[in-house]
Amino acid sequence: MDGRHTTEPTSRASAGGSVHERLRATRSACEHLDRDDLVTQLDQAGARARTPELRVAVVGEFKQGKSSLVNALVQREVCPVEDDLATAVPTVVRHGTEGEAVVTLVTGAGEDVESIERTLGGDELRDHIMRPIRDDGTRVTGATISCDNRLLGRGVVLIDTPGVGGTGAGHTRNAVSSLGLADAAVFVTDASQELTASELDYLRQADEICSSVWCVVTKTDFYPDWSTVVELDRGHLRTAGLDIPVVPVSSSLRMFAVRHRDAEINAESGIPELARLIEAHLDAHVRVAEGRLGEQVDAVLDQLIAHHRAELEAVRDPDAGAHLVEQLEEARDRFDALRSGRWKQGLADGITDLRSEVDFELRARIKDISAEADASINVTDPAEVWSEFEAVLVDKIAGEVDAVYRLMLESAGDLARRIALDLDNAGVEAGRILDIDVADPADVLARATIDDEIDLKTTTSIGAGLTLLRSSYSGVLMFTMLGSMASLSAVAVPPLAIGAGLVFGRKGLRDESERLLTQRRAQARAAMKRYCDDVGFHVGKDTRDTLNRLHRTMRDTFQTHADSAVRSAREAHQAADAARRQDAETRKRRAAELAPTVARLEALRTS
Amino acid sequence: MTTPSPLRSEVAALLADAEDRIGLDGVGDLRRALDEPLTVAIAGKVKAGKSTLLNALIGMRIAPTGTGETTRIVTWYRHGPRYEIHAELHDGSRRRLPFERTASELEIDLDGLDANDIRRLDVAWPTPSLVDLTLIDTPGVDSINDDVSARTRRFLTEEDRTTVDAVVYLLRHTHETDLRLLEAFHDDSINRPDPVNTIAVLSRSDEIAGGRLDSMASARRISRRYTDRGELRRLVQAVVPVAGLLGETARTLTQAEFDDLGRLAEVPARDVERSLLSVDRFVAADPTVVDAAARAELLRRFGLFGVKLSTNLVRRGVADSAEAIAEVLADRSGLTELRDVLDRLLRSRADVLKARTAILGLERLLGELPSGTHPDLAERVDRVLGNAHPLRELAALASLRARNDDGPLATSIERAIGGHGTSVGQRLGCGEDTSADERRNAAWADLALFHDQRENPFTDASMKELCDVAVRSLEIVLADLELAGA
Repeated sequence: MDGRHTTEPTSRASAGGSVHERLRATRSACEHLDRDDLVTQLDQAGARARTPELRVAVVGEFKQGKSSLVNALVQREVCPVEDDLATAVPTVVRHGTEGEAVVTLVTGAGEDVESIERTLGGDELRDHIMRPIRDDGTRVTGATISCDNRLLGRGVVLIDTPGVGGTGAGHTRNAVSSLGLADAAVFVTDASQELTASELDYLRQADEICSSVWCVVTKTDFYPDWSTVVELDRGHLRTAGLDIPVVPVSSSLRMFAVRHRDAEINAESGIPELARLIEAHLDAHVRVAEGRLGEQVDAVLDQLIAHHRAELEAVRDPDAGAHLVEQLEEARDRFDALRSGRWKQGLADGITDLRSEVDFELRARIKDISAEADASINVTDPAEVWSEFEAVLVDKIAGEVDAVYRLMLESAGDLARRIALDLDNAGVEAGRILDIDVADPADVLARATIDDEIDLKTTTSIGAGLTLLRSSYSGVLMFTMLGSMASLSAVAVPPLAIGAGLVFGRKGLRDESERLLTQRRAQARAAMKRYCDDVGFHVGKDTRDTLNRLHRTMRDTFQTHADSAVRSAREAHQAADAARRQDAETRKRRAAELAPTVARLEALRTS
Repeated sequence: MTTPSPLRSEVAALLADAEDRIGLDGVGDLRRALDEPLTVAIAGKVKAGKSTLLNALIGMRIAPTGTGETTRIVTWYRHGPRYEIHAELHDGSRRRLPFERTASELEIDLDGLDANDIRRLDVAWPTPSLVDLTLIDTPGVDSINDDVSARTRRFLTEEDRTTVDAVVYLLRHTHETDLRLLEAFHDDSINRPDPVNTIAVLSRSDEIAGGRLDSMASARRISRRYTDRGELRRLVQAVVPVAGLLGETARTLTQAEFDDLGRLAEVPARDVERSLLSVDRFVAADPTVVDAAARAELLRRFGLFGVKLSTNLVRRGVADSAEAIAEVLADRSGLTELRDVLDRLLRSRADVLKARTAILGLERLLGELPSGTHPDLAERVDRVLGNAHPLRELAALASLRARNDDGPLATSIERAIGGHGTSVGQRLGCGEDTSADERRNAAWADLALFHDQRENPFTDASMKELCDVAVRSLEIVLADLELAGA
């Protein structure tokens, strides 16, 4: 606490400046005041606000041009596009070193599943994305491709998804599961025809889940009547009461424009308009993140101001200071108690409850599906309906697994908010004792913790916990989608004869076919049960692990903020206490030092 | 169909007896339907290109096509001496409808009737391509308009099952809903559209590669994969890629259109490339060559792929007249191949398919009567179904498809029982130029193989039955060869 900081200009980054300028100024103030703990806190908050990821899932039915659209948006061929094969695993395209690509694979079956990552490129990467079930017995569950592009650099993460409604492994019709935990969705439909009933249904679901949905009509270069289709689509959306913008685009025009650096054709492609919409959404996103950053900066400033004003009061008026020191001492003790206090127990208990809740939900849901599947096996011939049965089963399970993860996410958010509230109350109590006219240090704690709660809850900016949750989530989801296909397809569909009745002369066959049917049903039932057990085991394990990580993350975050608050309270007490015993000359010099510091800090704070 | 086959005569006789004895309307309908040409329904999802394909097959722009949903009522197109259109209502009454024929389509005036009251439209048209083939256009399933979807489902799975002999199912690059609809076709084991009488068309094939000139090659590759894959193999006889719009245009090409293509072909290749980047660019390109209205019309008729392909063909001198280009386009569009497949797999078996439709229809009618009402008729139906060799072949084909077995034995059996076509050469896998001796040898070799497999203790029971059918088929082939040789 030397005097150097007083020479710093005070007005440059006042409340009128951008939040980043205020952050920089506050940070250097913290450095000068030797508060490295607050510096770390500000750095973390700053890093989080600088990269407010916007996860945009590109979804839609099979073969509508999703991968081409992703390529057109990032102006290069990152996602493989083929006439015949389609994207079979979610492919994340994010900002990073150009050309870096990693696929995640799982090996093994049943309870010995292991997940590995492999760096790939070129044809090999292409092949892994389109044929997720590998010859060596491994299964691809996802891919991440990095490229250096402006849109991505701003924080947009594009996720190319397998089509809804294809027939291969990994294709689902469940909007919920294919959207994963994306913030926004680009729904892709081509200009060959108007929206179908199933597409509208999907859009309806997507609209409920995502903060923003755009309906993109692709291939406008190819279909002469594209503008009619766009109008029809707008009409369908209006009739359905969905406020979703329809954007016509041509990915191939865009790629031509990129190759030939042709601005006119680029504009014609409609892609810049889509990029603009996405960026506008990102801007809104950034504003929210910046607002939150501003609050955190204020919170840090409040701590510093409270601390220094307390000291200033004490050096100015030692008699009043005696009373103040008593108050500060009591406040310090309260904060100390808070640091080691009950909230940790509350958090641990909350996590335990959450774990059993999630576990129960998972079991109950899988049990219901299993019972339903069982009933349907009893009235059908698995040989005839197996492939469809399999698809429906996987789809339903994926939907339920998704619901369980959403439940976990929501409950974890509730828990964080509850703990924050506890801390807030404790803080307010601690602060009430400080009967001085400065911002209450208790707010600091409350605000810091509430911030984290918002991270978890609204998914607008990614806290560490949420990232963990998300990455584990998509892995598990893909596991349910493909991972266990091996156990499902283990039922070799026995040779059967739909028309055998005729060949055999019909009546004699019946007994034999009854016996075979019973056998097939037993086989199908066993395979279905095995699959459900597998899913239950893996999802159960992953949710437990995730909750443990979440627990640690929340504890550490709260702890750090509590520590800072305690430190502020202690230092305020010490400084005020020491000031009382100093001689008049020293006090005067100190007051002259402190007054501009406080003024400067107050100028930095908004309102 | 000049000399009715023994099977058909037998079925006709049986139906006549049944009509006398039972006196149900349904039996009379079956008997009359037996004398009609082969009836093929064209089905598929909304906008799969059903009406366009129908026009291509008829060789006339008759069924209305367009960007929105155009076909909302099941419509029959059959040969008739006069141009006539009737609406058949649900209450069984028929009403004649006024219509107008424009250059591009047929405009039917529903005359105040509600689409929901109409069971079907019946269009009689004196055109040669409908003489031995009646085509049915159906509204798409998975329509946003639930009524329309329901009408088609009802049509394909219940109502008219007794009168449809075969189905051409249009798929766009496989979609789950398609498969489910196909499965609904054969929900009972021995009946109705099944691999025996269903052909899948990978429609709008020119769109698969976004109009690249190699689009059709891609489409062909995809069709092959579908044909080889279990799910579809179980459901259909063959998968054929067709660019319906191009096929339709090929068969209705005008000299004026050819002249426009000629003028476009003279534009320097580089300018053409830029103008063909998008439909909007093409329409807006140099009006002194071809004006905007004519350009828009060309797109509507050919599609972007068709325009690219045709100008390319004209520029390279591959086709120098309207007739020549029509032929190349019909070939490139896959229409020629589809017509060949229809001939080989459906038309050549028209008699058997019609007999089958009729006998299964009768079986169903008898089944609806109180049990034991006409035990002798039921027994005759059973006997025909069990003994008539052509029907046993069809059933065996279905069973083979369901096995999803592409081993050498299954493939040989499939060929012998007519799975690749019913001519002697097709059954033996011999080219048309093989000598009678070579054919005889091939037949004996196959016969020996099937005999062996039938006696082999490791052959499963259903395969043994299949061998039996194949042996019988070859015996008939050998008898034919002897007859021809004598």
